[in-house]
Amino acid sequence: MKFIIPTFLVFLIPISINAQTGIVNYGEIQSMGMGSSVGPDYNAILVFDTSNSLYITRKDSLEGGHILEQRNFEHTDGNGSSITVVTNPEGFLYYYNSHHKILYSRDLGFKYIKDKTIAIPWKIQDTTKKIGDYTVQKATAFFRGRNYTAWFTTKIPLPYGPWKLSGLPGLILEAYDTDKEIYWYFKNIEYPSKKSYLLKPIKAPNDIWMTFEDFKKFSIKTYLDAQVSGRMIAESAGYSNNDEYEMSKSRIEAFKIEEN
Amino acid sequence: MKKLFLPVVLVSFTLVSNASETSNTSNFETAFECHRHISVDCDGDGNADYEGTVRCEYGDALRDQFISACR
Repeated sequence: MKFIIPTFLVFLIPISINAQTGIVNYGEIQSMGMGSSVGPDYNAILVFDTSNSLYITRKDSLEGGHILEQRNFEHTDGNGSSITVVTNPEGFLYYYNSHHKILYSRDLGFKYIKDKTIAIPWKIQDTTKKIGDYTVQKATAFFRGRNYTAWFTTKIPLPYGPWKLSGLPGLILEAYDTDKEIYWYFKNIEYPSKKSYLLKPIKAPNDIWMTFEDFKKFSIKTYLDAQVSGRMIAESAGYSNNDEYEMSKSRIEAFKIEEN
Repeated sequence: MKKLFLPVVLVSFTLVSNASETSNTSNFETAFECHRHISVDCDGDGNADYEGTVRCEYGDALRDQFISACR
């Protein structure tokens, strides 16, 4: 009998670990500056357990292969955009540790960032709706240049969501900003899931991580550089370039640009 | 005197009316001018390397210029 009980426990432990893991499949539509959700629709996944979550988007394997295309999109107001639709082998990764409230990411520019500043000031509303079998509740917040609405379920009381959205008392199944220029929509969920092996921390080369403040400076610089380079080419080709394009119209995170 | 006054008034009215029409047409065209925002990410790192907004008729040409500049 003494032998039987420990053997039983050995089999029980992996089952309880698997029960904690979940996977959400989202669609991620990026339509910055387009006025509605008319942009490219990427496949994205969120893997989570009680301590951590990993969000992956724009990864080759999630799209069935590498994508690199310049595509046109028509805006609702009659204007248009031509943007590069592109994926990469590893994808953009966002790994959130809920105990320490630290977000590790492999973000735009293929930069590895350790962000300790994630604290979204959510305002929870009374409004509810149904997404699949889940009743979800509305929450709103201003975060890094955009006004977000998120729909979360307390059936899975874990503070995770797509991209950098976190900190609610339940899993976010849908989220978007004003006009849905960035829009994460729910496709399906596997919970519990046996695929706990997918929840791996991000490894930065030589374990060197950029701070959020440095990433912010880098983002502003790359944005301004692209504007200047674009203007130079447009002017040399004889096209008048319409300047004063806001950062929020081309980047998810829009920061205040300080004048020098 | 009356014979001279009437044509002067009519000519003045026609000129003012035409000026007003021209001004309205100009405003109409400006309000509906189509623009295209071009953004090209050369290395696929998620950040555009070239960005700009031009009138729609120049959109494809500017896009091609940006793509050429990547090479």
